[in-house]
Amino acid sequence: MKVLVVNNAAPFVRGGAEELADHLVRELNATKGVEAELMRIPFRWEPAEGPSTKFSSIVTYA
Amino acid sequence: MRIILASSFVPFINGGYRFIVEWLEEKLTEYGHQVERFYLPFVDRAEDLFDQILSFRLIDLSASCDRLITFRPPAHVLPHPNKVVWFIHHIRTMYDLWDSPYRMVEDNPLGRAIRQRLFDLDTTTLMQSRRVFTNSRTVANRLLQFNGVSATPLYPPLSNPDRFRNDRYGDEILVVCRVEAHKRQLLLVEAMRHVKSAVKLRLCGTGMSTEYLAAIRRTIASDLGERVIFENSWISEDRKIELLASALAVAYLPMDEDSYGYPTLEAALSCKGAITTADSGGVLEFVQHGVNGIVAEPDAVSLADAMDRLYCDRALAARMGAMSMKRVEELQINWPRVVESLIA
Repeated sequence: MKVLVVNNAAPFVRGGAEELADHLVRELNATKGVEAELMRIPFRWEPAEGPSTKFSSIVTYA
Repeated sequence: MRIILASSFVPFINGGYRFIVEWLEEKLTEYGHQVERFYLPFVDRAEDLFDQILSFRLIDLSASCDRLITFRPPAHVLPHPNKVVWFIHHIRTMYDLWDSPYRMVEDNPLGRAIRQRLFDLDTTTLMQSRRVFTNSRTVANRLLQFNGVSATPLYPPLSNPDRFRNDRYGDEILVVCRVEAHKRQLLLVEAMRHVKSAVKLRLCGTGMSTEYLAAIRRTIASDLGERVIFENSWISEDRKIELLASALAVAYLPMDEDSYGYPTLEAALSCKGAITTADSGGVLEFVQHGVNGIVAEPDAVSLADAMDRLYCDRALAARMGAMSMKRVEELQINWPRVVESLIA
């Protein structure tokens, strides 16, 4: 069975949540018949410029 | 410097597209930088192509690091004031594979509009970077042709080049890479029916296509059991180094590859020449016919002839091996150059 472990990630910050995800992936991979991989999605708690102020420039990639 | 490396990935699929990122991560860390790596999911698929790309664009890393380095598309759309792109290929089914059976959408007005939209957004976001490097001249030429973007080839080195060694020029032509139709291992097996010498062929690697693997096994079983060895597994680095050290030469003939390919470089560092084919794309930037390898035609007879030549003339195999090693220096394939270019 393939198992994707997903976590969010604040760049350059490591703590309990990161350890938990790493250990889980290691233990899953040590389990017979399981292949596990971690996917980390960058996340910021506080947007620098408030919500969606750049929406139009984002969708035009300008 | 705080550096983020960002690329796209398909979960559970390994290969060169990850090595280039992870090896750079190791080296930048050795050079004293703080490095963070992100693989974001992306699949070549028409239904939600732009949705997937937009999800990359929405990730704001601008305040998180001093420099962003991106690799596989569409990672280059990530916004950052200090972005450097090490471009390894386009979304090929919309670009150079358009005139092929792999084309992602229909060649009609809607399909062509979608393609143009992708060209435009790639061009715009590439232009927003400080510099664009590529893994080969082949890919740099495509960037110029399709996007009008000038890029500099920056050949990716191997992680630990010093670990490779040469013991002798043995009897085996060695092939270590994923076993897939576009890598053409089956053609090499078929070529073994045409060889006149006692040369052997060893294939190592795993693949996703059970049909292709079965076809290789069938062909070997029919009449080549003695002379073709198929190790259908992902072999360790140590074993690879061992096999390369005593190989006669390496064969690597992907169909129109983007880059010279790590197998070619591994051969060179083990002082071995490479057999490739005239339609192998970026591999031809490294392999020069008659100098550090043989550029055969992509057919069984021509490949058999190339293998026989090296088997019957070990001095030639050794000469080509030495020239391969020299080619690594000529093309400046080394980490100091890579690191210096990417953080300048």
